[in-house]
Amino acid sequence: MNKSANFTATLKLKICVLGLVLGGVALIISGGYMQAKAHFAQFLIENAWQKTLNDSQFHKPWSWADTYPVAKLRFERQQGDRNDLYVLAGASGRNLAFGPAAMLVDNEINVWGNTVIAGHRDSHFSLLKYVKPGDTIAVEDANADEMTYRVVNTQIVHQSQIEFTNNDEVMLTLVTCYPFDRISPNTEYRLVVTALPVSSNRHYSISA
Amino acid sequence: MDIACSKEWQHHPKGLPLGATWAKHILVTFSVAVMLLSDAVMAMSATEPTLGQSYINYQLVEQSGKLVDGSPTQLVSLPTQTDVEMQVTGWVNRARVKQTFVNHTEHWMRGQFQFPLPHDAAIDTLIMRVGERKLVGVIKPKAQAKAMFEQAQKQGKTATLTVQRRPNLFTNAFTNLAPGETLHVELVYQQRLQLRNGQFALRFPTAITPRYEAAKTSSASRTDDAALTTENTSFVAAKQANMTLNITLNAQADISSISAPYHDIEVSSKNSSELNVALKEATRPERDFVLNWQMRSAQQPVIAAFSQAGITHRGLPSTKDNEFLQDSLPSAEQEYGLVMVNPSYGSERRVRRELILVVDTSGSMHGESIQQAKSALITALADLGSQDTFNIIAFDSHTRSFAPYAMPVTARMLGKAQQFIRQLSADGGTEMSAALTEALQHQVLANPHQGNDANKAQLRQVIFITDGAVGNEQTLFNQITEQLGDSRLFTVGIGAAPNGYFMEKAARVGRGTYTYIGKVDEVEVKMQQLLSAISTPRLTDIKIATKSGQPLDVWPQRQRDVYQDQALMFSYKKPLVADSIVISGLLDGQYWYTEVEPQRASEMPGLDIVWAREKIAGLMLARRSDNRDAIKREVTALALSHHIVSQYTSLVAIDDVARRNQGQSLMQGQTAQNLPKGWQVGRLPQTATMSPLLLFLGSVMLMLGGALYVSYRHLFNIKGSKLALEGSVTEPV
Repeated sequence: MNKSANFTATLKLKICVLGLVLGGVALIISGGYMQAKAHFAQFLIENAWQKTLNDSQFHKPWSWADTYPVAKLRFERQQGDRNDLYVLAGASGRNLAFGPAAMLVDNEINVWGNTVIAGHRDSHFSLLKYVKPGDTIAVEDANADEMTYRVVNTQIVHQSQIEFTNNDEVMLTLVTCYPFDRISPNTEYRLVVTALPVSSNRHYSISA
Repeated sequence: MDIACSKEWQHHPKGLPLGATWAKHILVTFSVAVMLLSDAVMAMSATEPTLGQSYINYQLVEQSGKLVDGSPTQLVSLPTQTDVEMQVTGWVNRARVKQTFVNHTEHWMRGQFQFPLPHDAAIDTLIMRVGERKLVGVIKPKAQAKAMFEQAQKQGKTATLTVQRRPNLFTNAFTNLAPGETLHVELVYQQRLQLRNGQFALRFPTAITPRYEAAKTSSASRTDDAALTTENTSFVAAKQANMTLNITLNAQADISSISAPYHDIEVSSKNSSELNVALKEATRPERDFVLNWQMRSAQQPVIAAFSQAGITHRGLPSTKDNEFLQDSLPSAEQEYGLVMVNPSYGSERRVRRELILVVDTSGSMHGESIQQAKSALITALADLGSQDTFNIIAFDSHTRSFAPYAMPVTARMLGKAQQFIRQLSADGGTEMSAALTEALQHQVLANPHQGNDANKAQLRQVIFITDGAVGNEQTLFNQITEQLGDSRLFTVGIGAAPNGYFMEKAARVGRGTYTYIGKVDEVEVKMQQLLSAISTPRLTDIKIATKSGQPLDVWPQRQRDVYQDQALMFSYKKPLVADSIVISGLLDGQYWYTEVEPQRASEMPGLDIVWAREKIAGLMLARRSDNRDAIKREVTALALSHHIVSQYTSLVAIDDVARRNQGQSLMQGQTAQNLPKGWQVGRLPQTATMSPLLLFLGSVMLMLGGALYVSYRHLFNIKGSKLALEGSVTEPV
């Protein structure tokens, strides 16, 4: 009697261990999948961006996509390392999974108005944690023109504070969730990085 | 910790039955994990700033003419007092807002105060009072005004600058405020009131959301090129800002009821049309002040028209010497006026309608947005009457229709429609053009009842539910203009931050309105409000002209349909000669025509300001990539000649005397205000994923599994488990 009770207990234990291991693996896979998606989608988006640079038309990175790359961001950090990111049109939850995305406001990248780009704090925009006033960010637009922006301000705002998105002069605003090292995805605060243009390098086509 | 536990258990394998002990073990490990997790979360939230604190951020900016870097910052509240006086005549409000800033520090101070105003307000006067001196602000192009302000700062003169950040958000910067001194800034704005749901509503937004600075990240001032970092921060408790409000209301007609839903007011009436309203006590500005009043209902359309000759601010030196004004200075005197037609009489008469619901099911609508959209569709279906017809069109990369043309409202049809809505899911691209053609053209032609008298009397309303994530906006506006016909297009913006610019403009082109729905629980209320507001059109196909054929500059240029409990309101400019204005249209479907001779209204000043503000709003909406410079020039000229603050013009007031010496330093401050209750038009996108949480939980589960495996390793080995079983049998129980 005792033997069969112990046998059942052992079986339960085995099932439990197996369940924990499988569940753990499943969670890690799904969590890792998000990271992998965020990482590898950038390669497909890069291809679409190359096409855009060639013909100044927008191209979807994959056929069923509801978005297209509109700009390339390059963080020029003081240490000298570089980070290139491709920016998608429309900051919807789905787009943000693949890359940083520009909010649809009344503006034209590098030409006029405020370009507001949102990105996930745990993948593409995790580097915003280290951005300081004085850092420079280069933005390449669909006409292959590149403009360099210098960070003038970083601040924490409540998610309802969207009034900074409107501006007539050329500027760049990067938005991500704050605080960075929190595990829970729900936060009401956003880190907002404001940058103003310093120079523009017009790229003219040179016949090779 | 779990390893220690399991070792302990191995040494004492007796006591509890095996099954119960490992269950307990799991429980202990899990609660440890949960404790760790919640500790981490608690630690994070403790560092987050609290909401609702107002402060001024003092910063040492200038010392001996040089900038000082890395100086300590002190966050203190700015004790401000806001006194508002409003003079409402008919449906024009002239408001005087007095703000008092007290510098209770020992330093010369520079500060910035950000404040919201009604979105159609036009600030035309700035008066600054320092001590005994009174200085009147002049209107200048934005960049010029800023340069003047900065120069005054360098010279040690007290100055004030009023700048428009958004049509409803302004900042007031002041500089060189002496220690212990009080600065009074008086702003006057002009506003046209709207008639909604049969009543006039006067709003005064009194608060904006506070700003926070990162505790660790540095903040920098944009006043100069040098970035100023703030490392040491200390807080001083915030004092509450106070506000008083006094309204003199001359309604020009009998008032039947008056109320202020959010504040305690004191009303004293002179007669049936003239009232005085005051706030009972100085209140904390955390909620919009709203005053509603209703007129006694009339038996006929009420028409009222007022006019004034020439502009309000005339002969000011600042408006003369300006390059922008050369081509726009009126050669002869002009007449400015404001006309209201209120058709709200008679019984309510519901019109049969054909409701076409167009819903965006593209990938960008994925998540909460599509749930909101579906809920909006269900609400719209519930509002249909038995006389109505309806259809649903869903689009992403392809367009799918519920039916080939509008279907009658029957229980069976509604059931099918609900089924159609339930199976909608968000995926694919946004081909909006095809959906518009389907809604505005194909389905009109496909309808077999098309051209019937019964069908003609029907109202065709297209409700477009989308987040507006489109790239080819201009093409779509052109398409709507071409295809609209007798339909009316109403846009409903869904999601956290929809493309409001696109939808506002699409609705204007489509002769409808734009409604923004931010949350799922708002869907029902806002959809019902929209549907009931547009259920009864009273005045349609409105045309306005002068009787003699003289030019008439009317704003808004294109009149929207006027529905039950709304009024037609427009501003105009015309040559100053005796002439009447002819308004025609369809009133309840019948041809209707009237002539108005606006009367001179001396008690209603600033009609030209109302007209200019309306025209600027119209011009700003017509802005495109190719006409931006032209519009900027036109708006600047208009704003300068009418003396109003706009996106391109600012008011600046500068003291004549320099008071601060070069050696004395200047502090920089910025004020923020108390947190408002629900004052927002969207929110920033959610930019954190479940990924770290999933990875963390996954690791915890794996560790737990591993720990259990290590603890009961012997049970997993078949041989070992047999031994263990035998061993337990030999144990005395």
